[in-house]
Amino acid sequence: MPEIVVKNKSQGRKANEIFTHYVDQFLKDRGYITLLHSHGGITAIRFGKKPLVLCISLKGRMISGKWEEATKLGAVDIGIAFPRYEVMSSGEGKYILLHLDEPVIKTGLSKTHVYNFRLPRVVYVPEDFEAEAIAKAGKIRRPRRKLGGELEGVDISDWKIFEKAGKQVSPSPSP
Amino acid sequence: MEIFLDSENKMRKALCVFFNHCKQYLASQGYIVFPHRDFSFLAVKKGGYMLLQASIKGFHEKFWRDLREASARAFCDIPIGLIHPQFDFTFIDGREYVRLFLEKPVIKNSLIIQNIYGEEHPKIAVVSSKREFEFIKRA
Repeated sequence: MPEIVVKNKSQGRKANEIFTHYVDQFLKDRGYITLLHSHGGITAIRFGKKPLVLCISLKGRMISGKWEEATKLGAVDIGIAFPRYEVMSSGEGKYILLHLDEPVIKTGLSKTHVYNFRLPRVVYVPEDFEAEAIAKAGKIRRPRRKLGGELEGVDISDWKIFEKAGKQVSPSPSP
Repeated sequence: MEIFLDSENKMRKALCVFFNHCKQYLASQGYIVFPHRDFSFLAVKKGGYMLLQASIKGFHEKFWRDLREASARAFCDIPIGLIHPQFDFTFIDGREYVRLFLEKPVIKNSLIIQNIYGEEHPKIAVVSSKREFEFIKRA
């Protein structure tokens, strides 16, 4: 029974991707036609009814105001898909065990967290390769995105980076 | 800037560029947009919705045709549309090409089976930014 502790964002994203796959399968098994969103979500089409637009969230809440706006328009049904969860206890304290292969679907807006989001999360996946994929996800370090554009005509070679109480502050040119 | 779409990869990258412009265009028209991974949108407006396939090729993929047929069989027509770039025709060395303006999306609110640009013309994408030009060129 592979259980993986989600330690960082990369692992969270991987777990979310795996969960999306299970939600997709869950809906297809029930006769829905599904379209996966580019930014996490699913449009589920059912004949004779409004489309069901699901926000997929491991955190158990809807994120942006877009979902709220869409609910107000009334043209589609809005819902949330989150994994079945259990509150577990270990020697170090409580944690949330999320079953990624058991989606729970609730219709309507859900702006508050379904479970206590401050508790550490552990995910359960039925397949070893999925557990491995999540475990590996954290080890990939992507180069940080460069902020801003190129500085033209400014020599920054003698700029100093000042550090204050362990926190990096904006660089300023030396006199 | 114009770039000749002479490969599937370039067509795909041009579709990516077009897809982003569509998102902005639909939002500017007051739609709430849910972009899908297969380059389609669920566009929601007060009292209605529409499923739009973004297309550089100028016609609906088989999935949408099947979906429309299935919904018709179930006596409920799903509103399916197409969003394609504005286009015109140009002659280069005696051959007719279709120029696609990727920044100018056009919405058609019906299932399009036949190529909207007519017969199979070679396609040229028209972009305004160098970044988009380079992105397509690198394919």
